[in-house]
Amino acid sequence: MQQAARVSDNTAFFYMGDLIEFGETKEIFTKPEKQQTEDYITGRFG
Amino acid sequence: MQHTMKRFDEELVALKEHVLSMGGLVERAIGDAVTAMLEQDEKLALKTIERDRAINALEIQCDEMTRDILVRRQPAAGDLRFILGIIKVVTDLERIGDLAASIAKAMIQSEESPPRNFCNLDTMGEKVQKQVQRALDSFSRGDTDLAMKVIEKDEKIDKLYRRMYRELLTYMMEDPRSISSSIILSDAGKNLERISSHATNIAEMVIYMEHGHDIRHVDHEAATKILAGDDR
Repeated sequence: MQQAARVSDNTAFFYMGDLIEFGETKEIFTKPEKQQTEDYITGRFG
Repeated sequence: MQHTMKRFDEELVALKEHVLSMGGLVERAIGDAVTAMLEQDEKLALKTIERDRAINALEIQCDEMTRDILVRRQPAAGDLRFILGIIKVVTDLERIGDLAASIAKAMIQSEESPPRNFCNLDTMGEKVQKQVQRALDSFSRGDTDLAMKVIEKDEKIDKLYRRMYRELLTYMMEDPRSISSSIILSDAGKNLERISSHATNIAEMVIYMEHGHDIRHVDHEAATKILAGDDR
């Protein structure tokens, strides 16, 4: 995940084949829109 | 929801508790500094100055804890905003501690020519202490409505200080012997006004930590609009 944050311009978060959220990497890693993305990125699930 | 690594959650909670206990000391420092000035209580002033060391020590501890979390956990999203917020909140709290200690030091200075009239220093002290208390409550509970209230009320404190300054000017013009004590009082008022601004900074960081919106340096109306657009 750290690697994705470092090299990408945009990030998409998929869960069980569904697209949960897509956006600029810096937005996704500091202020994701969806709670599910937030939980995944902060290591609260997955 | 908890982290898959429970230890990380514990570290975040411990850090928050440290910041809050620093906040508790700072709140007391403001109250005691103002009381020392109003009652010309040198002992209380010395105690307040001494307490500033404990506040400074807590600042260093909090900074060490945040550094450890940054290095070992690489926090992201809400956790990252929390850590960034803490770094700034701790600096503001330490500054508030210094300002309260300055008021206490000014009290000791004022012993040579004690002020006869304290203007509205007591009301200002109470209101400023309340501002800090509200800012810390909003931080503790993640209450952004309360944080907005702190930001809104800062203007009132500025007004109180301006009123105090004008009043002191009149005294100084009427009686030049009151100049030194009036300057000391005006400095104490200025320090209280600065403390309220630091409380506002804390409130702004609470909003950033909770919603990810940076509302520093925008007017109150614009800030309200930014927050209203947030449906999370």
